[in-house]
Amino acid sequence: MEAELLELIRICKTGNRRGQTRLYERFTPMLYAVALRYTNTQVDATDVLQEAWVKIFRHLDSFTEHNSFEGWMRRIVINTAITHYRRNLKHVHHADIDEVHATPADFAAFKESDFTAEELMQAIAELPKGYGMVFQMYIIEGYKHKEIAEMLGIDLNTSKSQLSRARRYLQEVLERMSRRAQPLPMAAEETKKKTIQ
Amino acid sequence: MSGFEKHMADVLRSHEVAPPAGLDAQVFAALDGAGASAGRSLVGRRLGGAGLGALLLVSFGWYFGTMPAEAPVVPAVAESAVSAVSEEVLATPESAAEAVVLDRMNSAAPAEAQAENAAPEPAVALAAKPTGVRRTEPSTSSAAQPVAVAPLEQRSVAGIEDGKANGSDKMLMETPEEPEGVWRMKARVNVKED
Repeated sequence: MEAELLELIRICKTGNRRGQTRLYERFTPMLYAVALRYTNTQVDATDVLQEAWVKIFRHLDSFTEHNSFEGWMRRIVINTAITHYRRNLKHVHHADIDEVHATPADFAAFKESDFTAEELMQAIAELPKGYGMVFQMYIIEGYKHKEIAEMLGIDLNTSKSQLSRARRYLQEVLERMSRRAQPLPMAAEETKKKTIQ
Repeated sequence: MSGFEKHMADVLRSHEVAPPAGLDAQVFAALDGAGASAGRSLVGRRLGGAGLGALLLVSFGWYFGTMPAEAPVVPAVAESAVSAVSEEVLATPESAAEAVVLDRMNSAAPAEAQAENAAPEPAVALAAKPTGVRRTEPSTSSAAQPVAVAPLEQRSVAGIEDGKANGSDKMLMETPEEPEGVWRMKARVNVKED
């Protein structure tokens, strides 16, 4: 870990407000993106991040310098988002599994340059909440199924099946997005004719 | 994990989004609030505990302080007579309970006639039913003075059915001979004049 960050953490442990502000300004954009991915709405993401920052500052003493500070903060945000999700579970409506049409297409069909970060975030936001959480925790954060099952309070096999469904769902979403981005052949012809005339 | 998924993970892990304006103020206000509320709750717990203890002490002090020096005097008129009859009735098998009462009534019939001629019927203290189980302040008038009651044998006893002296009519009475605060349950017998 860089010496400057270590010093900043040390200052923050004393409760210094200027140090806390510097730490906040440095990591908030990254943590806000995480919160936004797990909650899908700005209002919820703001709530989650605010709660997470309070936890970070209050439990800074428990952070050991041998670990990744970014990973430690990221985990706090994710755990806070999971708690928030569970708290509001009754308000979330899951899509029926039968509505998810599985396609044999593979992610290999997509090119890495096809989508921007915002588009990928939008695609993940379209996943049903449970699928989206498992997918992000496994693919983006790199958690194992056992860890995901423990953190979300679900069965190990449920975690695996939800990841599988999330992959299928995401394929559909990305395909739809790529189709939307391409102009329709008929429409392109019409535009061409009008331009010539 | 496919190559696209790895790419997606790399892109999203390093992705940053500008937070809404004013979030920093909210965070630090919440941080101050959390600290203050934690402090308040700690102080509150301590003060609350001490306060509760003090309140309990004061309550007990008030309760025992306001208790009368002597146990309240409850007219124990005809208590022994009532006890005698009720115990006898209760100890008798159900079918024979009424017979016991009638037998005692019949044997006392001449004495009743004499008593009627000799003196007017005194007040029946048993009719005065204490309200609830609340303590009563010692009275300086009627309670302190014994009330004359005609012998129970001179009256017909009503309300004794099935060998029980009106089980629903039981009442709590505090008697002077009992230690302070000890309550005895007694059966109440309705005495009806013929």
